[in-house]
Amino acid sequence: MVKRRVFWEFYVISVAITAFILFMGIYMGIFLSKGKIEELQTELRNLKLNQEDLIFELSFLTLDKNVSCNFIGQALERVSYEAGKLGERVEAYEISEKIKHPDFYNLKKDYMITLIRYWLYVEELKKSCNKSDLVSVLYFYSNKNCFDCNSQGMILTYLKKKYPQNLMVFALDYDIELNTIEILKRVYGLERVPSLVINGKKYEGLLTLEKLSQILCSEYKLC
Amino acid sequence: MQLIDVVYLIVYSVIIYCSVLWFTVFFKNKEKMFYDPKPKRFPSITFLVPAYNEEKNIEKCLKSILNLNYPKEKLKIIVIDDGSTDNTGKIVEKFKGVKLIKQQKQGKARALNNGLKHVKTELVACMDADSFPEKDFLMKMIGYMEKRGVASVTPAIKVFKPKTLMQKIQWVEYLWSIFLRKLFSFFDCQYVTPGPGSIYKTSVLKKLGGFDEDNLVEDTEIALRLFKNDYKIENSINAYVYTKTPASFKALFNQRLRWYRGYIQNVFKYYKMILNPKYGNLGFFVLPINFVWMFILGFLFFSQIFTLVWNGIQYLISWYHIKFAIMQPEITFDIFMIDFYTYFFVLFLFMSIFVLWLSVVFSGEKFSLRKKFSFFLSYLFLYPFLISIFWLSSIIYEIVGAKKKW
Repeated sequence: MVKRRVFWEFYVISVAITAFILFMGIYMGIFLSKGKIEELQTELRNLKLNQEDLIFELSFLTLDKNVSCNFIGQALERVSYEAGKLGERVEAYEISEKIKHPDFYNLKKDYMITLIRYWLYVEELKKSCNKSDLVSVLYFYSNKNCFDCNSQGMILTYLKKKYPQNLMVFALDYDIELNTIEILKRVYGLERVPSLVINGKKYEGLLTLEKLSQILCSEYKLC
Repeated sequence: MQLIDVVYLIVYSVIIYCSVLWFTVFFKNKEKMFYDPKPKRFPSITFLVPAYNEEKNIEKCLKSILNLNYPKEKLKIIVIDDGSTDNTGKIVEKFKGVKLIKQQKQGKARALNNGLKHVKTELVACMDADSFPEKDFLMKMIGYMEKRGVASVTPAIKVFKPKTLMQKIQWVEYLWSIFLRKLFSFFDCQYVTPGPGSIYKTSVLKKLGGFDEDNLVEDTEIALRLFKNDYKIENSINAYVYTKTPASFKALFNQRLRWYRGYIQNVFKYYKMILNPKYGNLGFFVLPINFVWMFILGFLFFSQIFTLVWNGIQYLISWYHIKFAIMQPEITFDIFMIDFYTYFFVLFLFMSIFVLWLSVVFSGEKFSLRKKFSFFLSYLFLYPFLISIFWLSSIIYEIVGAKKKW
C-alpha cells in the first residue's frame, strides 16, 4: 500500500514552459505582422511614386501625342500589374492576420485611394489617346458574406492573364469606409457584391466567364 | 480576433501543456528508462491463458511461455477454454504440465476468474492466447514486485508482424504506447494493465475479488481498482510481448469501440477519483485531462473537416467557373505565407516527429526511414483522424446507449 501525492513541481514547471512557448508564438506573430506591414508600406510608397510619375507624363500629352500615348500605355500596364500584386498581399494580410496591426486599415484605405486614382488616369488616357481597346474594370468585392466573390475573382484573374495589355482590373472593397467608394457606389447605383463596372457600365451579380468574354469580345473587340 | 481563434488558442495551449508535462517527466527520468530492478528471488508464477477459438495461436503462445528464461519448477500454466468450437482444447491437451479448464462461453473476465480459483502461486500473469512473450519477459518484470506496495507490473507490447495498413499504423501506435506507459509509471498514473502479459500479486487479486465480469475492459477496471486501493502499478520497457492486432478498419473499429466505451464506463464507475488529490496524478490530472482531450479531439476533427470541405467546395466552384483551366500559380516563398498558425503547425509537427523518434528508440526498434517510412507517414497523418473517429464514435454510442458488444 502506498500513500500517493500529486507531483506539483511538474505541473508548475510545465505552466512556465508552456507560457514561454505561447509567448514566443505571440511574439513571432507580432514580429511577422510588423514586417508584413512594413513591406506593404514600402510597396505602396513605390506605387505612389510611379503614380506621381504618371501625372507628369500625362501633362506631356499636349506636346506629342503619339510618343507619349505609347509610353504611358506601357507604364500603365506595368503599374496595373504592380497594383494587382499589392492588392493580393493586402488581402492575404487581412485574411490571415488575427490581430491586425493598427496601421493596417489606414494602409488599406490609402491603397484603395491610389487604385481609384489609377482608374481615373486610365479613363483620361483612353479619352486623350483614343484607346478604344483598353478596357477598365472596377470590381467591387467583399470579404464578408460573398460566396460568388471567389469565383468572380478567379474569372477576372483568368481573363487578366489572357489579355494582359488590354484589361485593367481594379478590385475595390465594397465595405471599406471611404467617401470615394461611397460616391462610386452611388454614381453607379451598386447595391450588392460582386459587381463590375466595365467602362462605366454597371453589371451586378456574378458575371460568368462566358458572359464576360462575350462583353469584352463584342463591345470592346478584345478577341 | 474572432471567437474561433480564441478557441484554437486555448486548444493549442492545452496540447502544448500536456506535451510539455510529459517531456518534463521524460527528461527528469530519462536515465531510468531502461532500468529494471534485479530480482533477488524467483517467486512462483501461474500464467492464465483465456482462449476462445485460438487453434492458430495457442501453440505458439504456450511454447513461448514454456521457453521463458525462468526456473521451470516455478512456472505454471492454466488455459481456460472459453467454449471454443475449434481444436483449441485438443492442442492444449498435447502440452504436458499445462492445466486445461473448460467452461461454457462466458467471456474473458469470467475465464480469468475461473482460472484464478486454481492459482496457488505467489504471482499470476495474464496472457492473451494471441500473444507471445519474449524469452526475458519475466526476468525484466518480477524485480518490481519486491518494491513496497507494488501489486502489478505491465509489459511493453508490440504488434506481431504488421501486414495491412491498419496494422502498420498500430505498430507505431504500440511503440508510442510503450514509451508513454513508461512515462505514466514514472508519474504514478497507469490506468490499464493490458491483457497480454500483465502480472499481478495473487493475494491482492484474490483479496479484491478478481476481475469484473460485467465490464467491457476488465484490464482497465482492475488497474483502476488496484489504484483506488492504494496499490502501485509498475512497468518494464524491456519486457516485450508480441500480440496480434486487428487487420481491417472494421475489426479495429470494433476493438477500439469496446476499449474506449469501456474506458468511459470505468471512469464513471470510479468518478470519485476525479480531481481528488488523494489519488495522486491520476485523479488530479490524468483522468480529468482525458475528458478535455475528448472535446479537443472532437473540436479539431470537426473544425478541420469543415474547413477542408468548405474551402474545397469554394475552390471547386470558382475553378468550375473558369472551366477548370489550369493556371500556373506563382510559387515563391513569401513572408505573407506564414502567420501565427504556421508557428503552431511547425511546432506540433516537430514535436510529433520527436515523440515518434523517442518511441521508436525506447522500444528497442531502429528508426529506419528507409524501411519504415510508410509506417511513420501513415501514422503521422492518418492516425489522428482514425483515433478521432474511434473516440467520437465511442462517445456517441455511449450517449445513445447502444447495446454493449464484446
